[in-house]
Amino acid sequence: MGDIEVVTGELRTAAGKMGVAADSVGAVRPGAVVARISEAMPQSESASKARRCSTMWTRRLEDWVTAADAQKTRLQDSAETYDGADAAAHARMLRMVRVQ
Amino acid sequence: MTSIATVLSWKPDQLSGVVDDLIACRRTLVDLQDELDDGAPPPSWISAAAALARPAHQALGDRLADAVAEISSVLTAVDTESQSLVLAHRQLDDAVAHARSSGFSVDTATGDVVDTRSNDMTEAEADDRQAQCNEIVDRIEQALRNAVSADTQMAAVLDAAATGLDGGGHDLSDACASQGASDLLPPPEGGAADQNAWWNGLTEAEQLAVIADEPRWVGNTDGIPAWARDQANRNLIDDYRSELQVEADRLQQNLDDNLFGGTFTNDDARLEEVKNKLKALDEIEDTLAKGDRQLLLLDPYGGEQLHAAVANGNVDTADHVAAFTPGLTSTVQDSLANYDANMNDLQARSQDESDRYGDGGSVATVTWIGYDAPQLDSELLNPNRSVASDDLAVAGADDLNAFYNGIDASREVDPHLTALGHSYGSLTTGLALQSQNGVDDMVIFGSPGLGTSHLGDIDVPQDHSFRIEAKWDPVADAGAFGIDPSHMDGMTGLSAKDVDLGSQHYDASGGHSEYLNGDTTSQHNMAAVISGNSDRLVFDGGQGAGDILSWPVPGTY
Repeated sequence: MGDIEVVTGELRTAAGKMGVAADSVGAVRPGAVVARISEAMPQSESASKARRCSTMWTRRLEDWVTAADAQKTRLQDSAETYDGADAAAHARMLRMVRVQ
Repeated sequence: MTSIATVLSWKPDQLSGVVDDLIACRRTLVDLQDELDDGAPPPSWISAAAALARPAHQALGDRLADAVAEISSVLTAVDTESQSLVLAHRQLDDAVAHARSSGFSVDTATGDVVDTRSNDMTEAEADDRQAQCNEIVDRIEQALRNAVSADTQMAAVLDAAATGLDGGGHDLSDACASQGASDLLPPPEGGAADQNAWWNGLTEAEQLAVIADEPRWVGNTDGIPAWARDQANRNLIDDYRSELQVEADRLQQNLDDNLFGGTFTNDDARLEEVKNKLKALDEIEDTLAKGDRQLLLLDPYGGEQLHAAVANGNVDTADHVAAFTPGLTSTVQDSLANYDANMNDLQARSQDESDRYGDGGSVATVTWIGYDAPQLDSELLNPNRSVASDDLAVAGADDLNAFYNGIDASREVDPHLTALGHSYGSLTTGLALQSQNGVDDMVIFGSPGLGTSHLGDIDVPQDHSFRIEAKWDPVADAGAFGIDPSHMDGMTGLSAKDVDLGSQHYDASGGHSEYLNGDTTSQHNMAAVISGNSDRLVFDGGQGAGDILSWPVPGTY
């Protein structure tokens, strides 16, 4: 009983932290910033590389946010599964006591 | 090829905003370290799902660290290269503006520079305009190279960041460690103007990094400011000493291991040469220890002798600069101390002339021993290194010419530059001055000839070539390399006799080696030329018996 309470609490805390991280990363836009190099240096080699960098950074951070959200969900689901299993075990215990 | 117009269309000042915003992005990500740590699957969680969640969390940390590293590398590169781009942009802007204000048109698409004042010029004027045009082209090309170099380096970092960098784990602060810092490119091929433009294209931090990490790039590079050459060369003294000592030990070992010593090898002569170079380094350090010196040249490998040039005063800021080239038997190890003392004295005399009678401008003098001067030893028998041959002077003349041009190119405002040449050194000086240079006055003394019989071959302004000949100096009458300079049309004779000038008495100098002595008329005349005080000159157009003997036969030269 006690062990399950600890695990579910820790899982929910971890899920919450991953949610914060995902939201924060989702709000950061380095891709948009680096794209401004192409405006400052038209027809330069850096301009084309900056556009590519912008695309790749944006895509990678979006992927990161998606993965972080999935991790958050995984942690939350596990916590709920633990709670569900605990409740089922408790019900089984009660039935056993009544039969005796 | 990137055009002038393209580079001028760049707005590198906008890049600082990019850097600031990338720093803010990075800070946001790095600040997530606590969330990342606290978001890790708890150790008490043991299940099949936990086994999957742990590596997934590890991967998230690694990927975020990668992102931080990529942002760090880009912002570092943009920060560094934007400074280079601002400088290059300014250099290009200035060069184009300077060209146009000087009567040259610049095609910003093709880079063509055309003189719009090319009519009705004498040959000499045309040469000067061509030299000016070449310098403008050099400056434009170097500014373009600087801009393209910065662009290329920044592009490479952007490319690497787009492909993906390894942040080295999931510690976000560690991932901030500078990545992708640009490698400095060495100086380009080309003349002093190219070198100067390259140098000015570096940020201050890059300049200091070059001096500390790559001093050989700049120590002897004409066109680099004197302060930088001085610091770089001082940094190199211990390195050169170590290298030479290793070579000396190796040669000594060879001799010790060889039953016949140096009889059948050249090791004993080489060892003597290396020992002399080590002694020269000691001599240089002793000279620098006197203070207010700049080590403008230090080259242990350019000849059989170590080459060096030491300035008294500040060549970067002096209004009047004089560079002295000594002659026969001169070496750094045996002559620098004496010549440096002479130049120190001459600097003081010239400064006094400037302060009391001239423009009050500051003075710097330089002892330039940048070539193998002939020696009175076994070299006398070597036709390529004998004092009777001009070979050594020819070999040194190009370097001396580059040194003169480098002084001008290294400064925003050219100094009043005087070339001094003694004995065989006056031949080296005369040969060096036969190519375009920035020298305003020439003083030769005890000269066996200038490598020409015609002053028109010497690229120094008319009426600014002076010779001094002391009594009982046979070398000055030798006329061994071209006619005796005393007989050259347009050469002005200055006195080396006893003279009273106002209340001041100056002594005569006699023989071949007293021209630079203190309180002599010859020294005074040099100081008057160096300080630009033509009304303080003591003339002597007369000729002695030696000059009569050396009178050239008309039509033979």
